[in-house]
Amino acid sequence: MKSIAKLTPENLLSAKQIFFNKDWNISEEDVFEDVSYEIFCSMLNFFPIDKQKLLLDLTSQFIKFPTGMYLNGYSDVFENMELPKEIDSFYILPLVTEEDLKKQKSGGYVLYLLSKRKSQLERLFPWQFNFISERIDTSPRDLPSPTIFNNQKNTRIILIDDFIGTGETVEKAIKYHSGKLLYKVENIIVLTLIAQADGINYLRERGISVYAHKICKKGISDYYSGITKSNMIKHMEEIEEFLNVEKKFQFGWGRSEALVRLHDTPDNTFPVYWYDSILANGEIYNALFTRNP
Amino acid sequence: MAKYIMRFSQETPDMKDTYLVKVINIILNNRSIGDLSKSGLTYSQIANLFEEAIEKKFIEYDDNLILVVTDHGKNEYIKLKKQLYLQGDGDWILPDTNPRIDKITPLDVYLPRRRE
Repeated sequence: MKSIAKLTPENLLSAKQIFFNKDWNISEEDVFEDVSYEIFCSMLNFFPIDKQKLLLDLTSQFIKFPTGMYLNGYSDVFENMELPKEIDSFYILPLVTEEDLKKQKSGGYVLYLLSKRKSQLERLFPWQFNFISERIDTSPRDLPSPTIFNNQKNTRIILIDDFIGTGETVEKAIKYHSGKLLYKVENIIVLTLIAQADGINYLRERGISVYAHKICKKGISDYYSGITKSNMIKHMEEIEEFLNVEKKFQFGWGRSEALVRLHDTPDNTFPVYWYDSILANGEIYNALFTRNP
Repeated sequence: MAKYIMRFSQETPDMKDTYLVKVINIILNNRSIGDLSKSGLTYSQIANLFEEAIEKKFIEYDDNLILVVTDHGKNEYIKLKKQLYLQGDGDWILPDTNPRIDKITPLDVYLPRRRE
């Protein structure tokens, strides 16, 4: 694929229609604006027409969940949780694995946002919310010890994050909290805004209780069928080859085929949306939703 | 004091018509918007030009959702081309207005765009 200007007028206008339908900003160029029509069009311009069509299709499925909607999203999840009646309180912790305890993770960010709305949440729901921001590498100050906690029927631990892809990170986090810290799995709930259907199934098959505001299917494999599906997979493989995407990220981490942007872009999202790259001819490819790992 | 000449700093009065001719020409011929993006327009400005041409019924979508030039558009195209450009054997090629600048004096400083 050579990068000469190939964007057709039809696709230029389709792109604008998608931005309009999604209420994404078209004209204003703000450096912190989450999405840019100019970057999207120049991104399309790198690819031939058939691949532009695939990218337009995928972008119309794309979910951009801005930080401003987080509280409403979580409140919707709390509202739809199925819990025993005796539950009257939660201990909410960021979802982190043992090796990530010292790192800044999205779970910590989410916990901070929610903790600043504790009183509103307690007015809205019949539960007491205890936010444990301290990473529990030993025993946290405000969380009861496993021996006391496991015998209480009226409370649960909630591990919170904004996205679940393959479900493997959640499984590791659960193993840490149950295997090492000895909190019973049946007393732990995982809560997220957006999750891939495969990740949810993977966790539920392992007896993990998980709730999400929105569950998404795979962008290509679950959207197309038959010959169109294999053509689209081939197109995406060629796009990723052109961008020199590392093998582990092809079709998104764990081949999740996600189409999601939250406060940051999960690496489970198709790399064409976040993988900034220097092409073979020295040109710079700026992705629409650059990721900041 | 020398004046600095930047390209496209001033829009000539027929600039809008020039763009409109280019829009119709793109649909009639090469179907690539590269010509307009090279003139320094942003993608959203180019999209606005195409939308304007649709609104004015110069171009429209056919049954396969491909943009085509209407009869009205073809007439307007011929009319505008006559007004704006010289006619002759090469009238199917539109002059490249990009390298044109306003007349300058020997004392003026000309700053070309970086990639040139």
